[in-house]
Formats: sequence, structure tokens, C-alpha cells
Amino acid sequence: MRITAIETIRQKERPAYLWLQVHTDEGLVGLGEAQRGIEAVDAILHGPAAAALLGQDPLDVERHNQALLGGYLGFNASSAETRAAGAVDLALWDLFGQALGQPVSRLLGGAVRDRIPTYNTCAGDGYNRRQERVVVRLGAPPPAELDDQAWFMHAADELASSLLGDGFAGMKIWPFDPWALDTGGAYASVEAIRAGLAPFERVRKAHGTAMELLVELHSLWCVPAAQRICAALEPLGPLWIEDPVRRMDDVSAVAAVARATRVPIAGGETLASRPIVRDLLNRDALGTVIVDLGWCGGLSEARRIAVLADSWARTVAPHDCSGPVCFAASVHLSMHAPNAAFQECVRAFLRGWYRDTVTDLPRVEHGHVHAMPGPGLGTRLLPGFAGRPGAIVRRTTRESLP
Amino acid sequence: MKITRIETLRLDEFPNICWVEVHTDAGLVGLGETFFGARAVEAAVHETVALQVLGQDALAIEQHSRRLLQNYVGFNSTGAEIRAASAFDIALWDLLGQAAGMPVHQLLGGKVRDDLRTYNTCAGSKYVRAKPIQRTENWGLGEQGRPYEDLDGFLHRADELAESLIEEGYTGMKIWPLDFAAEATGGTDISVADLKRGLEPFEKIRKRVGDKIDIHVELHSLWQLPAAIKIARALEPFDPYWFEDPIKMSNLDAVKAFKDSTRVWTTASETLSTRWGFRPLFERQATSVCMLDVGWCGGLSEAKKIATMAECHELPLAPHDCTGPVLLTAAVHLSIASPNTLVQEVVRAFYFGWYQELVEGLPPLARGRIAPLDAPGLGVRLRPGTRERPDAHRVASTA
Repeated sequence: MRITAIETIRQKERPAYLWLQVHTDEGLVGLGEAQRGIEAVDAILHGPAAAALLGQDPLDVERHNQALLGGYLGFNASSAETRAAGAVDLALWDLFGQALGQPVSRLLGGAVRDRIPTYNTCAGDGYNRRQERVVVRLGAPPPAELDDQAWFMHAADELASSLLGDGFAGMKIWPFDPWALDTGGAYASVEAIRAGLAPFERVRKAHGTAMELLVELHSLWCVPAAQRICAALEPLGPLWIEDPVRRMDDVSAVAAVARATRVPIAGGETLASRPIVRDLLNRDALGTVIVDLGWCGGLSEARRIAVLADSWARTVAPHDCSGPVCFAASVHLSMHAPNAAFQECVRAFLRGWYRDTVTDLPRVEHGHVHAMPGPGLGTRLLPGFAGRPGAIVRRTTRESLP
Repeated sequence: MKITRIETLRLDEFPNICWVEVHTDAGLVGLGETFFGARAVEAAVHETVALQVLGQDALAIEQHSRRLLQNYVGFNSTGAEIRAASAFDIALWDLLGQAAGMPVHQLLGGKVRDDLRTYNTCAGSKYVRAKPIQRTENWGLGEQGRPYEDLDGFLHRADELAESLIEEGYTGMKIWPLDFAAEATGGTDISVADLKRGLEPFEKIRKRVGDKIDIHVELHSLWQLPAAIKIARALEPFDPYWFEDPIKMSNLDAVKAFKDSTRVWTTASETLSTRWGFRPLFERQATSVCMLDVGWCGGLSEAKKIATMAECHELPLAPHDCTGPVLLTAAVHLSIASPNTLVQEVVRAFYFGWYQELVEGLPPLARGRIAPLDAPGLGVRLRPGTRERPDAHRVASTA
């Protein structure tokens, strides 16, 4: 089997996303996806990546992944170069599975489970549609349907009722963000702490321990502010506090926060590659490694990171909030990796635009995400997706290479 | 002074260079540049940088630097986003200098010396021009008729090359005769035959000119640790000046192990970016010299901070060239204003070749020494007509 064309599809209405289709001479098409800064990713896919891939055997997944992640610049980070490598890697695993008629989770070495606990990331349908951050402040108007972000700022206890009704036993929210943005993360005032704690307290008061609380801090805070927030959250017993400091590549800063609190620290979705994860694990800075399969360099690199975390008896929890193809790939990893603890999901996306994008999504019920049957990743772009108004389709073949 | 327009320029002849011009409502235009994968950088400038800075104060340099180097993804590397942010930052310093009527080195604190010693990186005129890759296939070998085909020179006539450099006043030369061997094994090891072949240029140089020139050894992050140590041992008898980027800058403990294995200096690394990339290197004492590229590490703002951090670790600074004429100029402003500068890299094949074809106002280079001009800003400008070339690609984002 040989790679014959690299095709990217972007939609004007969702400018933070890119879909990749890797075409082969056997007619199989592998599907990948990239998120954020996708015009730069597009330039890399149709430039150096296409030059490296066209005419090659797509089943040499490891070789292509190592080559694309081993560039002279941009390595070891979720750079445009790494995100491009990630998109390619997802598509090649999809092709691998299709060629063998097997789900990707089996190709990884087999599934160790057929379902995994999940939690809901309380975003709205428009979250991450563009690169710009979606911020909901206190006093914003009541939420529209499917806008869980507005809902957690407005009435987190009601949102929790709705989630429990849907079978979710965990919810992730980020009520501290507006204050971080106002101070550059330098100062978490008593007022900010009180306002940020309020949604968590409302959930505990209304629902006791029926709901696990997950705190997202979005890499916005300096160490002292992060420590103050963690200390305030401790009595509420959150499952984890995620990405507490301004730069998650600052190992000593993450370690300082982790040392100062009894709440486990999770993090890492903005990081890529094993070396930085190894450094964080070496310093006991992370309890749970969050890995984004697209940003970290693909399923191949995510698996390496999962193995690394397992060697430190740490868990992994693949990121969602990124896109339906990346989500499908994450579910395959979650079924395979013995140390996968949770698979993140976003119900607003699952019920909304994910359905308008791909043919198949995993079943999410009773607080669990269920395995994707495959073959390959087990999902395709919906028929007519590339022909939608505003779609930007670009195709590179050996003949059209510069 | 508000940013009204950001324009990028690429030329098909130089697919690795992206220029960034920042236009303001005061009519001033700042020029920045970065190198490697220009199309991806161009995209990042318009979708990630322009989005956050159009309409803002051009002179709020620190604010822009902090925000752009803290992008949600890709922030801790020399990836396309940081290269784009670096080019933009350099353009802002150019604007600040023009607005103040002062050269950039004055804005950075002023000269701490009158000029800088340089060493010549022995590239040829078309080195790493065609593609965004650092491999032998992209070395542009086989060029003839130009004055300084120094890559061909070190591979085949290293003794003559050393003489030529000494005649022109250079006291140091950088060569990379072992890269071929790394490609043969993927960097896992080097055969005895390849190692002997790689030593030949060093033998020729020392035999012909003795110790009259420093030999900087570039290893391009191509080796695994044991092979790099093997090479270092073999080269030690020739008293090289430094070993640069012996292994990939992924495991800094391994870089430290390399440094401890040899009495020759270790230099690292242009492939790192931002203070957060360099700090773990310095904290581990894993390098002897801080090599940085202003167009890759986050721009002049971040380069100055990294230089200061290096100074706090008692480490000398040696800014990179081998990229483009605006970056060399920006590096020279930084070098002349930094107390811990050791030496400034130059590439005579570029400086007296295509750099002159593209820009005017380069810092004068003569007798192996370089110094910045006192013109406002960077002092370097694209030559008239460059933007209008038939192979030019210009893209603008406006407020």
C-alpha cells in the first residue's frame, strides 16, 4: 500500500479545526484531525509532511511518526510541527486498522476493558470553535441549551442535577479563569477564591459526594496564586486540580504546587512528547497525566506517554474537547492502556457538532464511555462534509509537490 | 503608536525565510525575520499573532512578548508559533528604535564593547536553502563560481580553507564533517572508518596552520549519547574549541553526561526556546556556552532575558547566525549589549553573498570582527524591489 494523496478539509464556521485524509493506492482513506493554529498545520501537512509521506507505505506507522516528530525545530512541544505529526499519526493508525479489519485498540496490543469511567467537561457548543478563549463571567445571562459553561457559572447545582440525570458522576469546571485573566495570574484575591469556590460548594451542598469535582485551572496562574487556590479547594475533596500553573513546562513550578497540596495534580494536555512528561514524573509533579492525542504527536506518542506514566504508577486520562476524530482515537487508547483512569468527554459536543461531523461516536452512558468497534478508528467524516458551503479542501499529490 | 497592518513576505528562492513587517498608524514600519519552514510561519503570523496584536500599541513590547510566548499550544519550543512570535518581536524592537531615534543595542542597555570577535560557520552559498530540513541532501553542494564554498572546502580542502580564513582575519571556524556518518546509523554509533574520515579535516587544519584557528565542532543533535562521547574522545587530541549540540536537546541529563565526559566545552542550543527551555539546561550545568537564535528563541525580548539568565549562571553567550540577514543584525545588537558575549557567529558565504543581495545596512564585518551600525532601530532594510520580485508572496492582515 502506498500513500497517493494528502487531503485537508477545513470549515469556515469552525476555524480552529482541520481534518486530514490520507489516500492510498488501495482505495483506503485514513482519517486524522488537528486543532488550533491549523493554517500553520496545513502548511506543514502540504509541505514537508507530504514530501516525506507521498509514495511511502502508510503502515510504517512508527517510522513516519518518529520522522515527523524528529524535526530540527519545534520538537518536544505541541507546536504546529507536532500537531501536524499528530494528525498524520491518527490517520495512519486508522489506515492500519482498516487494512487489517481490526479496531485500533486491538492493534495497540488489545483492549483491557470495554468501557471506561468518564466525566463531563462543562463546555458549551461554541467552546474551542475558534482559537480565542471563551470566557463566561459572573452575572452573565442564563445559559442557552447545551451551554454547560454558562450553566456552571450560573447555577452549578442545577447543572450537576442535569449531569447526574445523564449518568455522569464527574464534572470539570473552570470558575477561577476570569480572575486569572484579570491579573495575569499573579493574584488570586479573597474575592476571587470565594467566587471560584462557590460553584463547587453548591454542587457539594446539593448532591453530597454523588458527584466528583474536577478543577480546571487552564495554565493561567503563578505559583503562589495556584497554591492559594489549591489550599482553598482541599476541604471540598476534588478528584484533581488540572494545569495549575502558567507554564506546565516549568517542572519546578508544577512540583511546588503539587508538594503544597493534598489534592492530586493532573495536567499536560498542552505538552507534547515523553521528555517533558518524564521530567514532571521524576519530580512527583503529576498524579494523572492528561494527554491530547493530536497535540502530543499522535496516538503513537500518546501510547509511549501512557507507558511512561504507568512506569511511575501514575494514571492517564486522555483529553477530549478537541474534536470527534481525536476523541475516537482517545477512546481506543483508553480501552488499551491499563493505567487509563478516565476518558474525558464533552456532552455539548457529543450531542452537537461532533454528530454533525462524523458518522460514528462511542456510546456514552451510565458514566462510562464504551469501546469503538472499528475497523480502524471506526468513524468517518459524514458524506458531503467536504462539499459543505465554506469548506476549504486542499489536496497534494506527488505530481503537485513543489 | 497602533499596529495597523502586519505583512509577511516570502520568496520562492528562499523557502525558509519569512519576513514580517509591522505597520503602524505613525507611518513607521518595523522589520522582523525568522528562518525554517516559512509557509508555516506565515500562517502562524496571520492566524495566531495578528489575531492578538492588531490595533494594539506597537511599543508595548513586553506585553506582546509575554502573551505570544504563552500561546495555549506550542509555547515551549522553536515551533512555527514561536518563530512567528520571534519575528514579530524583532520588528517591534526595530519600531521602538525608529521611534526613539536610537539603535537597538542602545535600547538594550548600550554597547559593552566596541566590536565583536566572530567565527566563520563554514557553510556554502546554498546551504540549507531549498528545504526546511537539516540533512546532507539539503547542503547545496556542487555550487561553483562563488567565492566562499566553505562547506565543500572543509570536506575536501580544510587546510586551504583554514588558511583562507586566517588571511581574512578570522580566529575561529565551525565545521560538521561527521553528519554523513550519523545519517548512516541514525546516530546510534559511528564506524571506525567513518570516524577516521571525519577526523581528516581536523588533521589537515592542525597540520597546515597549527593552533592559529579555533575549530568549533557542530554535531547538529544527530547522535545518541555513547556515540557522541566516542566522537568527542576521538576529537580531543585536536583541541577543538567546542562541541555544539552533541545530542538532541530532549534529555538534558544526557547533555550534562556528555559535557562531563569531555574536557572540551559543550555548546547548546539554538534548538531551544524561551527561558523555560534554557533554564533546565543552565540549572543542570549541562552546557559551557549558551547558543541561542533570536529568531527561534522568542525574539530579542526573550533572547535578552536568556542571555541574562546565562550570565547569572556564569555562562558565556554565543548568538547563532546561518539563518538570515535581519537575524544576524538583531543578534549583533544583542551581542554588543550583553556583558557575557563570547563570540558572534557569522557565515561569510552568506554575508558576502545573498545577504547583500537582499538587504542594505548590515553590520560591517571585516578582519573577523563585526559591530552594529548606529542607525535607528535595527538599521537593516530590505533592498528596494525585493517585495516586488516575481517570486514574492505577500500576505497582509489589517486591523
